[in-house]
Amino acid sequence: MSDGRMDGAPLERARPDGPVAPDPLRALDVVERKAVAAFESDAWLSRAALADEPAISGELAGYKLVRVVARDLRRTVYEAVDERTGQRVAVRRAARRGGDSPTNPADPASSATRAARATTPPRHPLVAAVIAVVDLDDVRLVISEWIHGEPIDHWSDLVRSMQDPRTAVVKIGQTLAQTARAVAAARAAGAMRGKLAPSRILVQADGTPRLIGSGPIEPEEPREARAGEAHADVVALGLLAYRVFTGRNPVDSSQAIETDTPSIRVIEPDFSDIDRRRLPRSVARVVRHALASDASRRQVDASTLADRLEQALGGGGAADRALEAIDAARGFARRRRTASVAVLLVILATTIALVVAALSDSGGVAR
Amino acid sequence: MSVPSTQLTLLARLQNPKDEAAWKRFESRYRELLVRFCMRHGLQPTDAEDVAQSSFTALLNAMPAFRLDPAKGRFRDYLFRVVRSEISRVRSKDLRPTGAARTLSISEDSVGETSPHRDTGVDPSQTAFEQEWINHHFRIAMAKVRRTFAPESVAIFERLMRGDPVAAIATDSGMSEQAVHKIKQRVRDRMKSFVEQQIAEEG
Repeated sequence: MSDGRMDGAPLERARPDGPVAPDPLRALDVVERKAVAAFESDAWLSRAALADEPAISGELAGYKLVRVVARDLRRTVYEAVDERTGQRVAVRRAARRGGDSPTNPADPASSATRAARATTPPRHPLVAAVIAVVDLDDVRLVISEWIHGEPIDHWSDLVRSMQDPRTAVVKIGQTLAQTARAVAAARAAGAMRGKLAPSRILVQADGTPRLIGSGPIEPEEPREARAGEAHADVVALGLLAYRVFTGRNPVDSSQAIETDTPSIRVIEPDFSDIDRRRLPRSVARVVRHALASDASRRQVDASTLADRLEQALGGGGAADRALEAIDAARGFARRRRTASVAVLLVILATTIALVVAALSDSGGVAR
Repeated sequence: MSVPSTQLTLLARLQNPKDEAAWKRFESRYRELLVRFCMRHGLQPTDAEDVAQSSFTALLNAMPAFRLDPAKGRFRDYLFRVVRSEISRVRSKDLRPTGAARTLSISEDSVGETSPHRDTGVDPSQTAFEQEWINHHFRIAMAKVRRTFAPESVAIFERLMRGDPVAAIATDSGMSEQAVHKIKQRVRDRMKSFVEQQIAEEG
């Protein structure tokens, strides 16, 4: 690893008064002028085409790499094609620990290149299948089924914008319940790992979610990549639910949907100003329980959360329906004040008339 | 040219190694540039990723103690030196043959102190980096164009980029050639403005 020293680098030691702003009006240098000058002729189009060419080429353990689809500080995911079968796959490449180091010599068997192993977890229709695991020197490749779909957050944004609120709630809720079942299945198979980011749930054209990025957990993998507790899935799904129902991020993105922390402190998101049509009370209650600060109030696992969500989508109990009706009446009153007052007056007048009539009738009978 | 703030703020924030959001943003903005530069030097994609990663680690270590001095160079010069240093380090380490994942084939004229082109005063490695840097800004500008223009205009831009003649595009899209030219000009002007702004912001 470099020590970070850059000989001749155009940076100096910081002065006590902090960083100095570069002057935006400074003259362009030769390279910058070249970049801008391209726009003086049609050269800009060929430069754009050149810049737009795919970044990667080559192969990895028999898989022809097509493009990078995701990457973070520890791993990169490629779209690739299996050169033997022509099948499109996702290749996740991550550094392995415990490999070739003086203090922890590599296991000869695992450091042998291209040692494909059949350690794939049991298949579940909602979890993208892991096809193979390949160990190279100090990296591990997890080859998975390629899924065509839209990340669930983008998909839900689209659904909310195109469907009426009630239909959108049902559609999103059903997909979310299926997602919870997929998470439960991955957890049961010991294949749940890392953060349950929205980008890991791809919704296919028919609305079916598929969980990607799961796979066998190996002892030498970093702690962050290992499975968290089952109850952590509930919190992650609660945060996800808040996001997909409301379109709002429940917490700062850096701490959202973290499933690898043994004891989770949850900052309950604000439900007060959410349109009840977007998040009906019965559904909100499920989400609120999933995100409760008090862990004992949360659903015990993802499967239970799925059950509760489906139940809530069915309309919940009588109390829920009554509260929904009150909410609807309040909403109407806020939107149409004059009409509401008129309706109230009519109801009041009718009630008074009925009472007076009833009293008259009873007086007549008494006489 | 407007006074930039975004990138400056980002660079200032990078002085705090604990500002994870700033580092993530910085990494997502520059990783592809570094990876492409490494691959231009013959590194396999996976090795290029590793070099990019170690470059970010080097930057993480170096940034808190340094400040950008525009009088001494651009931010891209700094980036170049970092990645060149990392490629040299990997190259020297990987002179020993190992497994498939470590197969590197950096060309002789790539980087490092032993480059035969050094005596001529023209560093081909730096030239390559500068070309990649221009491409990098074009890519960012194109992404903005794709996000902000109407899909029909973007489709026309894509075809122009592929080299399709204006007349054919006009016929296929039911427009006049003049309209296609107008869209081309609008995209060009916007992209130019994006590139200028990005360069100014970068410092």
